[in-house]
Amino acid sequence: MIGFLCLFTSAGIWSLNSLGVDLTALAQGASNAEMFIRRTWPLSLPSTEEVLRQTGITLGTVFLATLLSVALSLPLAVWASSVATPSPAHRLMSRGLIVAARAVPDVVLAILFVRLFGLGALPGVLAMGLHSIGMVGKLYADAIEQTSPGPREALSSIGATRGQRLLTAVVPQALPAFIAIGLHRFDINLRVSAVLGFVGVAGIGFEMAHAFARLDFGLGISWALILLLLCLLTELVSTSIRRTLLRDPGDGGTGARGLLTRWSRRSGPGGGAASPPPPGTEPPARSSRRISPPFGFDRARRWAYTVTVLAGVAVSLLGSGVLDARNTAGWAGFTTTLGLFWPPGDAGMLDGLLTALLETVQIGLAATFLGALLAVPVGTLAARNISGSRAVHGVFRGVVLAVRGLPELVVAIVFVVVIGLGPVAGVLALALGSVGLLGKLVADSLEEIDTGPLEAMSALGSSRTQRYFTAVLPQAAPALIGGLLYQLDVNIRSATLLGLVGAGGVGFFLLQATQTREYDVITLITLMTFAVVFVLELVSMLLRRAVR
Amino acid sequence: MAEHVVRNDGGHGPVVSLTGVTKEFDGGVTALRGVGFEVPEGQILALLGRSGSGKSTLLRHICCLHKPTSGSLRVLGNDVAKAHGSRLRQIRRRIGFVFQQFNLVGQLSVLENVCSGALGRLFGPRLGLFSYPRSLRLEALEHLDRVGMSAHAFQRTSTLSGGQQQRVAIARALMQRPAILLADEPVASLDPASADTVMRLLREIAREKSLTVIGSLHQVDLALGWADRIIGLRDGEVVLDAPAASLDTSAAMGVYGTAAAQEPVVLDVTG
Repeated sequence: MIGFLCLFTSAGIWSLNSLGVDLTALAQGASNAEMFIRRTWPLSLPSTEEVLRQTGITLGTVFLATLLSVALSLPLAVWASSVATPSPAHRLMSRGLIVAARAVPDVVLAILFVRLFGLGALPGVLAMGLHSIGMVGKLYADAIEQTSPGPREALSSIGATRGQRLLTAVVPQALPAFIAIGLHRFDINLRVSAVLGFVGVAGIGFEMAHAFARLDFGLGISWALILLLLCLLTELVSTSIRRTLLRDPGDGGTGARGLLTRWSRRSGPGGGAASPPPPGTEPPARSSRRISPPFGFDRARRWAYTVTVLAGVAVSLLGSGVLDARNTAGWAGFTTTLGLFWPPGDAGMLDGLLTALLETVQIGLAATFLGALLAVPVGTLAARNISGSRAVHGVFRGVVLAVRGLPELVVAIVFVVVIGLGPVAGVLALALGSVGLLGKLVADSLEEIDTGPLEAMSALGSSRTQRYFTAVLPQAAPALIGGLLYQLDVNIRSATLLGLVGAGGVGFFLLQATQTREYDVITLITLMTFAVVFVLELVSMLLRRAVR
Repeated sequence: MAEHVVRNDGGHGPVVSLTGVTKEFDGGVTALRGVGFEVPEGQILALLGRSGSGKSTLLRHICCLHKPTSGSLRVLGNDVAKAHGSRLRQIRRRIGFVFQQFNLVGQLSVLENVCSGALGRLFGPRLGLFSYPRSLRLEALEHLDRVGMSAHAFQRTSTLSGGQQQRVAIARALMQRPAILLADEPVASLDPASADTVMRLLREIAREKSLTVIGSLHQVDLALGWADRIIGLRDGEVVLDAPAASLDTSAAMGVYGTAAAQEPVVLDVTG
């Protein structure tokens, strides 16, 4: 435990040193901030019409991509779960496909599809849609596994087939989770769309990348702010929808919904308030009986949701230009294009690539170290049972949520502009981003601790700080270290992309290879990143075992 | 209710018959040891025994959810060991099963849960009330009438109390048009008043439709007043098999290994 912290701290400090992140660099950054403001101010805002158009394209692309990943993930998840798999071979194959989808970075997929279909929305839909299967498919399989086995067993005893069991017993149970996971992925894809803009996927990300390429910082920052606002808005909306979905409604629920439900129940025919007829009385005549549910709030809401989703699909398909006829021509060159990516090659830059890869790992380590320094206090204050006051808890939960909504690439751009090109900007951007994820993980794991020891400690007259270090931290330590390792994994993956905006690491070569059409280098970089992430996964598995 | 009883042996002989049924699970646990008895049509049989004595495993064998490791098990004239796939589902279709935890889909409406009892004779998967034909929905409502739950037909099932859910589960079992009704601790999670309603319903329905009922129970008094016949299990073995009328509470308690009666008490019940 102590050993782990020493190792982590020394790795973090070593990385910070070799990347040249220190106080003087930060101080210089502060003085650059003035220059930055002078360069970007006044912001040159795009026209309202243009903002609406690009927002529409971005939302449409992200919506279709998420829908595509949901549609492809559903059968994969069914085959991947033990609940409804026809055979172990199916299960292994679909698990393999899900892992593969996660392993290929969305940017690499986007480069491939842009090469096939040219600039536009379709490459984004395909790249995000396929890559998202890695997360959506896995979580869907988990959601299916977590459904209660009782109803399945009951339907088995009835003599229902596998398909019948799946649709009648599993789907109704897992549906709220399916929708919540889809919404969550929508938020993530919206942030990813900023990155994909740099390789030619249409939307706000593309406009932003284009503006920066022309050194029009005012316009670029405006687009970045617009995307930021969009991310925060959707995050707020989807968080509240998710919260309602995942709460099992009791007798009608609370608020307006509960009121309406209770009202419709009372006034509707055959409402719940009616007393059951005493056994033995003649049931009403067959033909006159109501055999469909009364049109209450729930049914109206279900209709509204269905219509909204269908309208969204229609608008997205038409608005984003995915249906463009020239896209069909792209599929013809599919195998030829794939051939460009294989075999992997280094174009004579192997030394440079390896140095950049080391830098990428260092950025990940340094950012996680700095991020943890920020996230542990923030997460502690955001934990309901530790923060002490409702207001403090609420404010810091809000901070965590807001930071999570920030696309890290946009943050990286801001840092690049403020303190200049190089890995320092990347470290700071990822460190800030870590507050969103790690802060949430810290708060959640603190909220899950057993309060017994805490009470015992207060009973013997300890101070708040004493209690925190003696009763709270040791209990949460395994969860915290798990969170830290997960954050490191996320940060190293993200660090490979920072180079797209000049914030250091191997991503620079990714962009360069795209521009010079050396697609075999992209494959090599992808494989190298795999290797790093794989080794990291092994190390963290060993560490987790040692800590438990 | 002749259509409810579809049998492969022309309607004669016992509905369920077990000979030397032994079940070993993968972990090496032996749940049933040489269990043998026959159940004539229309009998109400209560299984008594501690938790872990093999009652639930035995019921799951009769419903063909498990297959015996050795011994023979015939249900409605079918050799269960030889049945596979759709043949197995055809047998299960005629056996209603009422679970301790009801095992209803909480997210669906009461009526849809009852309709799902007909899945065994429907083709293809179903989701949503409108995917069931009109006549099935009307039939489901009639079963809900029978258990006194038709006023809640369109309510979300998870909002019902335990006793109400168990009545819905009985309606779902009736929707199968079963020949046999199995009940695994049907009232163990219910308050005394609801338990009473459920047990009374099971008995009345069994008599009306001349169903064979096999239920596992914890409470000895409840079993004695409810069943025609009692079978006691201990460690997977039959240790008591007698008409309920011939037993008093202390004799039946022997199953739990507290009183005397270490030797199996076997009285003739089929003759």
